[in-house]
Amino acid sequence: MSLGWVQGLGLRSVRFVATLGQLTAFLVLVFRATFSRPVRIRRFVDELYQVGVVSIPIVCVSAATIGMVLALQGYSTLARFGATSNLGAVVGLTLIKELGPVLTALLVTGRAGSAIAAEIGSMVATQQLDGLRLMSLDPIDLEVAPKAIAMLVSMPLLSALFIVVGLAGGFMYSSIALALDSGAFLSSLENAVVFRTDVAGSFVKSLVFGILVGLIATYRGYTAAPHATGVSAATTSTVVHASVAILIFDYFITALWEVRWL
Amino acid sequence: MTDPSLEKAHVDIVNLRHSWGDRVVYDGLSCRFVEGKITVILGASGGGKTTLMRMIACLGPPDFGDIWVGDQEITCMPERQARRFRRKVGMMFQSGALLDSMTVYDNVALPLREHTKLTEDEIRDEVHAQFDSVGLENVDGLLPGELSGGMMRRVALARALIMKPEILLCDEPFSGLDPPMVRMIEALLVEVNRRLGVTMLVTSHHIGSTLRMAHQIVFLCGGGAVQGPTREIEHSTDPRIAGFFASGDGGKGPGGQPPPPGEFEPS
Ligand SMILES: Nc1ncnc2c1ncn2[C@@H]1O[C@H](COP(=O)(O)OP(=O)(O)O)[C@@H](O)[C@H]1O
Ligand SMILES: [Mg+2]
Repeated sequence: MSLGWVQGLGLRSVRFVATLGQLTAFLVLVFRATFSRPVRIRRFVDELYQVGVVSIPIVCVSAATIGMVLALQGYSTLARFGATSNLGAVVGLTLIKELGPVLTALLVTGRAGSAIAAEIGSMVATQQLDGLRLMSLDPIDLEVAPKAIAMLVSMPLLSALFIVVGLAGGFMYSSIALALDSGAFLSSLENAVVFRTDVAGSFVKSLVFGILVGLIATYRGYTAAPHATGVSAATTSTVVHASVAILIFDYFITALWEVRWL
Repeated sequence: MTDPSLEKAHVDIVNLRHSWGDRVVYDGLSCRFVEGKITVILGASGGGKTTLMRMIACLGPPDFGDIWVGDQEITCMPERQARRFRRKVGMMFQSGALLDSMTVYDNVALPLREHTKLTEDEIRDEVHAQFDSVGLENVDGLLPGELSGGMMRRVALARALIMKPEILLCDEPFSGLDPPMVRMIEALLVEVNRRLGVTMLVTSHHIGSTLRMAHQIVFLCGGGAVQGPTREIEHSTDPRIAGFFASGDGGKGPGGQPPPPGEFEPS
């Protein structure tokens, strides 16, 4: 019985490593397709719309709410130390360094990542990708790469949007609901945020998350089993795996980045 | 009609073996498809007709065995070479496999845009000529989801023919159509074969149209194939073939193998 457990673990590890290998090979194919001629600007712009624009509402609503919650929570904590004039710094740094990139990535995974997996998966199930192959076309070039690149490009932009809207929400909440001095909020924000470390780190995070989500969503869709159950399995596993990957990578990027600037 | 073994084979399948998991689909399958002729592939549902077409289109290699197309062996080709090879092959998928997100016109124009240097005007003329030849009009702006079954087959045929293939694969072109529409698609396929001289492989359950259009029949059963000119197969004394023809509805009668429960059927 215990041997069965060990065997199961071994099997799962082997499968995990095999999947990582396939994912890397897939990444190489996507990368090659992106830089092969012709460069498909139109397809990319279409996908940028599909991925980026559809995510804007959910990102804005979530960001405004999170900004307000941060202001309220930060205020009640800082009030214990009589340091409420630092509220701008707390809200700003939390949003820029952590919540902006991470929450954006999680939201975009649910909204656009799952849609990408479902779309590619259903193209597999209805043989549309085989149809492309039969016309001597490369589905990775035509369908997969534009979606993955659109995800990569829109993630930092959406993350920036999240941060700006979150800051606005926090600022308005602190000056209207909490009746704090708005000048103090802004100056503490301005003094605390360092572009070279905080903002650049945030950008690096969202870029990595963009690659992760784009890669996982397209890979899951592309390798979906060719029937309806396969498509729904691909969608679910995209959300689960991308979310976990985002959180794990978040830890490592943060750890490496903070060590670098200590 | 002459014996297919004496005519020039365009596609030659040699000793094919393949299984999906535990399920053996081919166990030493050999058959040949004569150049410029219509060959109908018959067999019970789940008998491996679609799988064979996909292998000939280089969409998935068999476990073992060779597939010769002309003087090229295609089972071990790398993807880049396979892509070049597929220029010679057109396929009408059972589901149509048209791109949902594009109009019918764009679907058919896509290979011309990608592989030729034709101008948009020339492409338009070419696509419309192709639509005419398969009996379609005023469909340019429609999306594939808006087409009826018969129209969808015609568009799929137009797309399969637009690059002037040497081999045309038609997977179940008659399934789900009403009898007059079956007659129409059948006449269209015969006409295409006559006009273009393409080697045609058609899978079907439909006995009536098979007997009318086929020059040759390849009957898949028990992991292998029985092959011959249409009349010979029609009057074969092999109990499996005789049973298939006697049942009339293709494989559900006493002689045919009913599809196993829980069978996986793509499309
Ligand atoms: N991709 C696949 N994975 C697993 N099994 C498959 C796959 N494709 C086909 N099969 C199985 O192979 C057998 C033959 O399928 P197919 O070629 O579609 O038969 P037909 O077209 O004659 O109905 C079926 O039993 C089917 O379940
Ligand atoms: Mg089939």
